[in-house]
Amino acid sequence: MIALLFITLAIPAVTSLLLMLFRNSLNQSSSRWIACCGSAVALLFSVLLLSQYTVVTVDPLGTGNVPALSSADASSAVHPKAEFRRPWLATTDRLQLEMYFGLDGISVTMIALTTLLTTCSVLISWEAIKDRASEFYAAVLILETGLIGVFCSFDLVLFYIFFEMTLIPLFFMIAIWGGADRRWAAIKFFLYTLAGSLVTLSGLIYVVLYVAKQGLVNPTSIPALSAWLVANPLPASLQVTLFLAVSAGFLIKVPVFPFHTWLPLAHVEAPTAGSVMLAGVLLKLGSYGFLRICLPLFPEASLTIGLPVIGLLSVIGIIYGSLCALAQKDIKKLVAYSSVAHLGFCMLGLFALNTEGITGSILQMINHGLSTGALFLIVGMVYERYHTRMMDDLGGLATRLPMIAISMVFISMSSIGLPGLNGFVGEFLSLAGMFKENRLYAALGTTGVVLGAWYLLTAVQRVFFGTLHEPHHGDHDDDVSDMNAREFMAIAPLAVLCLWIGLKPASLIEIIEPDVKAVVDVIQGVRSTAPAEAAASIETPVAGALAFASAKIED
Amino acid sequence: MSEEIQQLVLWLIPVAPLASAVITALLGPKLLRYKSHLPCWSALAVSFVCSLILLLKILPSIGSAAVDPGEIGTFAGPQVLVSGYEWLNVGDLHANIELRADSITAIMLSMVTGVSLLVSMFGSGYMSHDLGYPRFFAAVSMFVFSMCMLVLSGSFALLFVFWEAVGLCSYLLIGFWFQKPSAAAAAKKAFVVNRIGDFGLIMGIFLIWTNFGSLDFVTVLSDSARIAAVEVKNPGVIQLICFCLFLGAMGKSAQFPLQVWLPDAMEGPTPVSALIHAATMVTAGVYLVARCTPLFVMAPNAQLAVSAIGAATAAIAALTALTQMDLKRVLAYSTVSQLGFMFMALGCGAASAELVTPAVTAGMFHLFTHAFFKALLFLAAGSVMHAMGDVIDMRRFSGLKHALPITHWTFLVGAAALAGVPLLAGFWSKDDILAVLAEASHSKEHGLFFGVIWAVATGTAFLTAFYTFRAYFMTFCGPEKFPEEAGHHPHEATPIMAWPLRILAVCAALIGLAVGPTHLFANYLQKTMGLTPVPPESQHLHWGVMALSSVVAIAGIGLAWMFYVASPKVPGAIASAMKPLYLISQGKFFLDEILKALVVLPLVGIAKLATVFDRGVIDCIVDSIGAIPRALSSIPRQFHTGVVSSYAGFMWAGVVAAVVLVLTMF
Repeated sequence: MIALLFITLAIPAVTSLLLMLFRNSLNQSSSRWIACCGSAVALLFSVLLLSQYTVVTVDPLGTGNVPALSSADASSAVHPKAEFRRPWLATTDRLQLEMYFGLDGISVTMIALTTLLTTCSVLISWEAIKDRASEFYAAVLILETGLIGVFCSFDLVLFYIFFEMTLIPLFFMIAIWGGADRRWAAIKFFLYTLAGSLVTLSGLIYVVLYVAKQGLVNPTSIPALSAWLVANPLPASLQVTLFLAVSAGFLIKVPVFPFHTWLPLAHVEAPTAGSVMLAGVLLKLGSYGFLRICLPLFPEASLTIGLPVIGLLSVIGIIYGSLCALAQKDIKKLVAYSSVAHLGFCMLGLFALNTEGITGSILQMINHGLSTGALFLIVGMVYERYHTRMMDDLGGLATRLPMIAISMVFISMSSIGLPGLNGFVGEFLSLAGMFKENRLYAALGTTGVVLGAWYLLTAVQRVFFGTLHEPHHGDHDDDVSDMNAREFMAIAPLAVLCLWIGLKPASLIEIIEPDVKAVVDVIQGVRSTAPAEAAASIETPVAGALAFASAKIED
Repeated sequence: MSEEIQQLVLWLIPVAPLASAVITALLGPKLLRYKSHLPCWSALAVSFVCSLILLLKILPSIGSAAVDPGEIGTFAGPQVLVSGYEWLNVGDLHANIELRADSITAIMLSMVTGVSLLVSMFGSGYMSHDLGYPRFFAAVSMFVFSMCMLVLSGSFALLFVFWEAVGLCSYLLIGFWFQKPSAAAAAKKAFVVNRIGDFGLIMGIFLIWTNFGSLDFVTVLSDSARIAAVEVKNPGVIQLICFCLFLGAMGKSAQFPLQVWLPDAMEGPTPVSALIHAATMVTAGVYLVARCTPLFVMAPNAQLAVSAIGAATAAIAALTALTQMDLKRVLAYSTVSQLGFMFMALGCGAASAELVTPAVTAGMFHLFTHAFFKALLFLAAGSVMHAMGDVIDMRRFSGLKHALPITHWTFLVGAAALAGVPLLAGFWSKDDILAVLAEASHSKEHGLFFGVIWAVATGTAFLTAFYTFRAYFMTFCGPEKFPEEAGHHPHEATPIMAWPLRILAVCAALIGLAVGPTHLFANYLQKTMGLTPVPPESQHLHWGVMALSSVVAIAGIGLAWMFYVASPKVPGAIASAMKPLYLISQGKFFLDEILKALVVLPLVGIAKLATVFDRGVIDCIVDSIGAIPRALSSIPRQFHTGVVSSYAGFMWAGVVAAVVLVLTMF
């Protein structure tokens, strides 16, 4: 299984290397074919990986006879089911750092999502990217490599390297192939997210040094670190400080309100492929980081600060993002703000810190990748035809572009959480999870369901329904044709998955279930040991903030 | 009947329309084209037959074994359960795909599949020249599938899934002619307003889930001791649940103030208005409240709210219908009004415990008969529209009774049934509601409240008779007049449209008489979980109420005849004499405008403000933080001018400083 993982990781890396090496001799056509093949083969291998993973680890009959595949301590919140560990950087008696690649249910599904959306991105850039095509596709594939790398890293060093590595290709994608204001957008995206992740880095370094001093020999291994911290919890105030520090980068990456302002700008300026990758996978690095690092390492702080404070920010994000989306005139910006709202659901579920919420949150990550990725594909298709994204310039396109209109209605329904499609499952579980912990947050979050329908259906109505209204774009007004086979290939798998996850979410849930359970068990452990303290801070965000403030003062 | 056959029958009811929807959607545009109605017809026929088998054969056969009317607390009634697959199973949340049929389900299913079969036949004639012919039948099949699943759901989770799914079908069908801006806007409005109700439903479901630990109907609803225990543990929670669920019902069943979407929904093709926005989908809210009777029984305040909202809706809608000129809108408002009647009845359980079952029975009976005569009225209106070249403004045609004889007499039957003319369907069911209300008004605690509701109901019944026959007289009587869109010879409905009209007319005329006074309906329905069968000796006909409602109906019709046939100048005179009142009615109580001013515009304003805030404040803070390094660097940057002489100056100063330093140190 680990061999399959390395193949999946290597294919985009090698392909991008080829594209860069031979960039002078490759024209648009040959480079896009190379990129297409590379990404498709990576997709194929990731699907193989997923199916292999399912066969090996999922226990459909519920016999409980799944072989213990993990070398991690049973008390850890992170259990990779396949792993590759090699000593590197330092091997002394007191310190044995290892490079630790691994796979668990969450990472394997995220890898599959990454390879799928990369393939879609390549297909959608087919005609749109004309200049320096080979470099563009190389950037896309480097991005893919970095993303897969993050999802299969189980040590902090690798994780951070891959995490930052994703910034560079996307920076160039925005800065070179973006819209009019691309430079500013790229710089802002880069610096903002980098600034956040440097704080994260400092927090992680502190944890590692602290724990190493206490005697853990491999303090960068996430499973080992988690197991160690379960046995020897950090002091509460330190935990809170470190939680906030490590969260910084992830909060910006998700983005959680009010750290979201780089996102609409980056989306509007990015080429379609960039937006798809950004919304579809890159943002998930934030929520994945919370899930992979913050929750396992700082369970108590997650409970005392994460639930009340980040929960509140997520609720604000849902409502605020929806309202901003409602007021947009640019449809791409609308979708960008809708991402803020959707990731609000994701974070709300995550910080419910129970099985329902975290499962819903992971589903929401995948669902948002599928449906928002597809929305950006559609916006890209419309833009390619009319060279505008302003909803006032467009109208009644369903008459001219019936297939695109059908896709748009379908994907919108998925995005606004219509039961039977994927979006519902994630939102419903996230809200249900939060409802158990904090009814007010859940109720306020649910208003996002109403607003979501409002802004997205308004967009559908304005762009696709009503009387036909097309902008003049040169002298080939009649050229505009409906979705072609290539575009269909890009969007159809996403639509099929939307339906599949909606109808049979169990097939996805059973893959991630053991991993969610491991995290929840650790948090449950904290809840039961400090019930009074935790309960007090769950009550209100104010109380949580006060607890945090008093903890600071005690320092 | 063996278990396998039972399961097969139950599965076929929803699966046949689903298959038809998939087939039509995939093959329709290219292959089936104008034969797209065939899969739909056959599927609906299969569903209808299976529903009848369920209604008449399966449930009665298990009924005898399972009914145990002795214990009121744990009465589950005869039911058939079929499991599908595990859908959502996370933590404490369990929701599986599973069908559950009991008496109320069987009644709803037979009504839904029967009416939709007739409507789809009518639709194939009505839509025969439309380019979207396959799309129409795919969506209708999808709707019937969703509606069947909605009533077959055995848990709140699955109910919600299909609650939303019927909403989607409604959205797609209201916006069927998406090129029309008004249709596109109406579709969106319907979906979004329904979502407001869904918010309540989701909250209700979460509350049930956290308090009962289950979403299963049997677990939650069958044991009244358990409900009482939950209430004891968490006082007020049942009431909260009921209010939340009722908010959902208000959205779907168009109750005040969420009724604004239904009249606009008439932008859809008329068969759709008949099927979804009159007979079936809009009654889902009534079904939900009836289904949750065991919960509502524990929450008298919620029941009072149900009755009060029902009464307000019924009265407002009836008053609005008085002055509308669009035939379909008159019918739409009458639908809203009749739904109000059903809710008025459902709330009567608050008066006394013995009234709970008769109240639910009356509401459900009205739902049942209403489906037939309202579908009939809409289809007849559709036939008028078809003949008049899509003109539906009653001022532009009149005296159609000779040109459209079949449409005329079927519409007349439907109108008479709606008005409550004795012996027709609406008479029996409306009479039941009025009787229950009258009985409730004798209760000690809420007597006055229900007395008022009863008065409103009676008044509304009078208005109903009046506005229905106003529409009838304006359309079919008077001098013959056609709009120019109709051409010179308006054509009567083709056979494929005429037969459904005839069948529905027979139903509208006779179905009430067949199952009402004979108590067939009541006895059947009362085997539903949560209801208590009323012993035969206490079932009686309410002669006094019947007499009164007959008088009211005849008076309403008579007044309409006086105004619109005998002396047509009177309405105009009254309208100008009471101009403000007339304008309020014609302006639909300005509810659209009020909601727009109170909800939509403020939200849009806040949304704009949020965008400005986003750019101007949040982003500005980010940018200013980003500008700090540059600002700091601007100080040392001033020294790096690139001018050699200034560097020489600095160098000189440095040397001097160094020398001074050295000298002072020694």
